[in-house]
Amino acid sequence: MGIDRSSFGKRQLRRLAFLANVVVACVLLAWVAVPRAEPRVFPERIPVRFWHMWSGEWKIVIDKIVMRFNASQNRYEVVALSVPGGSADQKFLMAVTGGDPPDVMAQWNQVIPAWAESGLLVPLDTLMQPAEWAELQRSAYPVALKIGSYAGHLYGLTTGINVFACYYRPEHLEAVGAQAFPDSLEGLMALADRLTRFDDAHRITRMGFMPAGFNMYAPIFGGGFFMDGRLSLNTPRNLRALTFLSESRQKYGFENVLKFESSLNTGGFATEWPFISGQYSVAVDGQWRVEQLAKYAPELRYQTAPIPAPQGGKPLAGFSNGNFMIIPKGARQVAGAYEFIKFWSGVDNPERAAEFYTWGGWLPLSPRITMTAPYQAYVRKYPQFETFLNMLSSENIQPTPPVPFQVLLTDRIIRAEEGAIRGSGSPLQAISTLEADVAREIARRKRFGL
Amino acid sequence: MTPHSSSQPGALGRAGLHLVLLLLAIPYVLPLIWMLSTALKEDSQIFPREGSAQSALALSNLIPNPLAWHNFPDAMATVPFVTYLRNTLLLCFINVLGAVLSSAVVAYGFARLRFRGREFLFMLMIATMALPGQVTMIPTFALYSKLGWYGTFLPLTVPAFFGVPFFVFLMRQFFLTLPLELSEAARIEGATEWQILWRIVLPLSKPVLATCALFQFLGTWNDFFGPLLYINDPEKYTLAYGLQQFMSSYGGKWGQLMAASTLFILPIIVLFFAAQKTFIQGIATTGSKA
Repeated sequence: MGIDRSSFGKRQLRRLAFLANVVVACVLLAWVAVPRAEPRVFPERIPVRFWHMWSGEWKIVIDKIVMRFNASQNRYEVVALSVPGGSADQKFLMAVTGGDPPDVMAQWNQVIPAWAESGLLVPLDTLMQPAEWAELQRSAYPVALKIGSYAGHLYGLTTGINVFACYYRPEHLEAVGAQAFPDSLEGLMALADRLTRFDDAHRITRMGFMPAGFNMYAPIFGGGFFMDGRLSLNTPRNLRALTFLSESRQKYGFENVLKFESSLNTGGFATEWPFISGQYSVAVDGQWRVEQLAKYAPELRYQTAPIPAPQGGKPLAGFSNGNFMIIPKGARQVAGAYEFIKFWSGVDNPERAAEFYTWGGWLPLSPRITMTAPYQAYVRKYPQFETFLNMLSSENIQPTPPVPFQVLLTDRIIRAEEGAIRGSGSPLQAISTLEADVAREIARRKRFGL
Repeated sequence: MTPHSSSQPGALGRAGLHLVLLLLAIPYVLPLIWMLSTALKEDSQIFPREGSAQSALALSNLIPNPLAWHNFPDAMATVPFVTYLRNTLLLCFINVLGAVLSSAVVAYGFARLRFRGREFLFMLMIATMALPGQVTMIPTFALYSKLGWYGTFLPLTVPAFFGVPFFVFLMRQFFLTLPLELSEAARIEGATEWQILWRIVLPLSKPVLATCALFQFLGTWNDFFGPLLYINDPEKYTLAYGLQQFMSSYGGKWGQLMAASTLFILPIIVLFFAAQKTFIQGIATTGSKA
């Protein structure tokens, strides 16, 4: 075999083409290789990298708060990054473990106990002056501190609390002759029966009221999952709550309720809430619906009220969660991060921060913020918001228990509720299984020295 | 009847075979049809009221009426689709080039050069394929971070230039099928190993090169986790990452979401149909030694 000299020109051309490709690739690689700085408005300042999970119209609110912070001073610049919610925890954990975490992150997932126990978070109380910490403990709403605390330290400072109450349609109540919203859960359930509508085939066309959420109703029945600093799952009050949830659904038939719920358009957008279309007469939801209703259904007549307590239960009770700010271990600008957290949460200046809370329709960290003029103006604008504010001071509002296996616990609580309402076991069996599962997890963690 | 004709199915047999294949294909095609159908529907058609004709489980309800073409421009206006596409194509181009070239060089060494420890090194390289990504994720992240590559495209491109074990394996198997005499003859004529690789082996290996290029393209195109970990600037987001962002932001807008998903997979489908002959040839010829 010989190398054909006559095709030299063709080969040269091919070689040149190949070289040209390599050069193009090298140029492209060089272009991407040069690390370019993050987009900065104030490049002369110290950057504080802030990750959050808001997107769409919420991101605009966050960007506004960041802009306000950056405009308020000349030392730090907060550089915000919106991370897809479903993968934010993975990105965060990788960045912390890899040694290059953000300086501050806004969270709402159940992460504080697990991450704090793994040593991934900076206790925020250690960054505060003793007087500042004492003042926060004295003034903050109880639930705000509960959400952010683990093992005696504050790891997350709340910038928005969520509490849940009843939204109801007065014209539906008037149509069945009800003069006022019931003041007991028993009364509400009796009213719900009158409000619920069926078609000829006995399919539900309008649901008067359907309670759901074991974590919501356990505190309402005077129970809860965390009492006196420890888990309390299988208690008579919790059992009563689960039995109530089970019986409420089975009264209409589990399948019938499921069919009704499946027919609802619950795409997640404000306008798709079935309460707006009148498919529920009474619905339990968070405070953010107040502003959404004003925006997307301004003509809708509705009112809000706390979920009424049953006999022997507790008033102004229920479940709560919220948004909170954390600082990861390994953050380069801990001081800058804390500065930003203070700025947003209003620890040092309630008047200024009150405006931010109104932008997002968030419930504030403390009554000091609630009492400010901007926040009071907001409440006047949205009077139904007051129901939620009144609930904030209640000690009966409970977040997920501060245990390092919150995700598993929540999953098992939901499983217990589903088992009970489906009728696949009695409420007692469901709650016993819940207790056994959690005991097994605690034993497993002990075995592994966690 | 000749032995040849007896081994070939008749027209009826072929029709039957195609019918069975078509039936088997339905479960795989249905999600794609549903995606396209949803991309062309209004929300009211996607979520019809229970009891209405549109809520019935009927094939006719897969056909949108009216056609909501606006979902496509709306989706493209909602996210910077062109920016994401540019970034994705850039990464695909660099990764395909890097992975195919570097893997070919390594595979040539394993297939055609004799040196001490060759088999051991080959087995070692193959063994790295068994390592789950999660095991190497943290050390590589820390390494790239220390190198100052965090936040750039470098962690997403440079590794491709160091050979991809699976491609090395495929190419080595293919190179082993090429007659050794070709290389021997070139050597006698004074060709170097580089010249043999570039002028003889690679031109004869187009199917396997195309297969590896396609695999790499698909891998880079669909990669969500890499950009998630290393990219911190929305200007550098890729389509897979952008699509996830779209789901977070506008998850309830199913029409737009499916329109964006259709746009996302369209190039892959076109590419596969365009290159399917070469692709299948490449796969078929790497499995056995001639």
